[in-house]
Amino acid sequence: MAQEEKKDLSLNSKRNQQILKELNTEDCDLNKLRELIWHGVDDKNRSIVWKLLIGYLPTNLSRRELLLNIKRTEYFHYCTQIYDARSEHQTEKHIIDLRQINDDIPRTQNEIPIFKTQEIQEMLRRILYIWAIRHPVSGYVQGINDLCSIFLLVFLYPLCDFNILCENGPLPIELKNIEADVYWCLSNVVDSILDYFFPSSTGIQVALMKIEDILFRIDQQLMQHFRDEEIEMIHFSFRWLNCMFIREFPLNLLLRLWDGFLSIGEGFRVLSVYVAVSLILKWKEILRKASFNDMLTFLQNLPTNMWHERDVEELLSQAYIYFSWFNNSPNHLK
Amino acid sequence: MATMECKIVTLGEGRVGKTSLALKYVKNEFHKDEISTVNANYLTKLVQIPQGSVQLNIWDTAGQERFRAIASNYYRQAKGALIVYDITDRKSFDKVVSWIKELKSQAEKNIVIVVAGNKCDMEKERQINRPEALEFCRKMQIRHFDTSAKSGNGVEEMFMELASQIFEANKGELGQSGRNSRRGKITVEKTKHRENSGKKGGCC
Repeated sequence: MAQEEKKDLSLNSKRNQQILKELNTEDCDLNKLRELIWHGVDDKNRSIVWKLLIGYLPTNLSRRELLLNIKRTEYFHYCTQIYDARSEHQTEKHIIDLRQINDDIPRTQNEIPIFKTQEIQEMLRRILYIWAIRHPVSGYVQGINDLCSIFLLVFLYPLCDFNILCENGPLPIELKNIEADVYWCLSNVVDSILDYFFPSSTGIQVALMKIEDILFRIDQQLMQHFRDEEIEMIHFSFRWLNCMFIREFPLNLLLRLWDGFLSIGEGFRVLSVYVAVSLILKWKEILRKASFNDMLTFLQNLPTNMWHERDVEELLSQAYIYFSWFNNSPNHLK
Repeated sequence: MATMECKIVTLGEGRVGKTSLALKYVKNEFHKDEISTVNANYLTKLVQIPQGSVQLNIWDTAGQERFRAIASNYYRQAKGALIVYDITDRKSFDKVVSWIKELKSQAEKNIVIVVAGNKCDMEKERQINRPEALEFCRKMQIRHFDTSAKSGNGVEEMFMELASQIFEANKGELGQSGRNSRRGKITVEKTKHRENSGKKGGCC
């Protein structure tokens, strides 16, 4: 076992070196980066790798600084025009959104100390409000705050010299820039699943039907049991998709899962469906024997606290296998 | 003694303490900034009352307006509903009225409703006059409880009352076979987006 761990460590450091090399080439190859990040990335480099794969940073090294400046300046304009001047052109919908945002801010990552600070709470308020105003079809939706918190943590991490997951400390002076980066990355990712947040959550409902359909093709017996017990996907996996599994995993494992989402084009929309399928099938033996109450209690409280990174990797691999079976083969196993 | 299994639902404006009340009752837990509910949480508890025992299957629904349409799926076939407002928030009390109206017209006829004025540990910030709330509920013939999920005040008492009222209202059905809507089906509005429906055939 110790031998294996050593091997893992050396593989990891080799991969991180490759990632670093890729980051510093003049024209970064996104496909190569995707391949590398499928196996994870260390916490220090995650910030820049994600920004590239989300499409926020340009692949061209020499243009990065310039484009960052443009995007950040644009966001600062929103801050003055949309947020600071909000009382001048606020509709009733905007007021309702802001109230909801204010309700949710103290409840976001409520176990992480920096989220209790005024600086971070103000920052969340601005990002979420500006996002809501610029997305009038959905407006602010609960769950966007969860997504936002993840980018904030990942981008802050390499710039803080204290453990941001459990300590408070001086926040970096570049806080305003980080805010802009969080805004744009949040926007880019949510744009790829925007219909999840439309009124009546049409996108999520379609995804839930897809999950059920695939499960039925893989394990008809299990799905029959779900039907007999009257368990429906919406009972438990609505939250999985609405919050991209943030509520289902400890943070370090969640980040590893999102590495996986980012290593596949449209991963948040496409791979997440297969992750949901794999999660359910992972516990099929337990679920098969359980009745409604036990099934639902289990599925709403997955035992992921005991998980290691390996388990997430296994989950991702399994999801990828199903993805390759079904994604371009609508009739596979029918 | 007979055990009755029944579905109840929590309803109310966002951040009034629906989840906190349910958690306090079922697990005796309280978290100051309880995470917002997405869609609905499911909790169960077996309650002993003098007449017998009641298994409460609680659907704790999300308060955001966006989930309101989904909430109707959860109160369908429910035997009981707990409508919660925050005593420090006027608008959350106004919402109680609309929930009662909706339940009376859409839910099961004999649904038992109780109202909780939550956060009564924050008496200083109270915005809803207590006699006004009591009078309103008396007219509606609905029991009103002052609760605090934080201190636990009134929580046990309220759920016990809900359980016994449900038992009384449904004891005629005890012993009858069938699964008698212990959970209630949640139907998702089928959209036309279903991909590849109807297309059967070989794979790939």
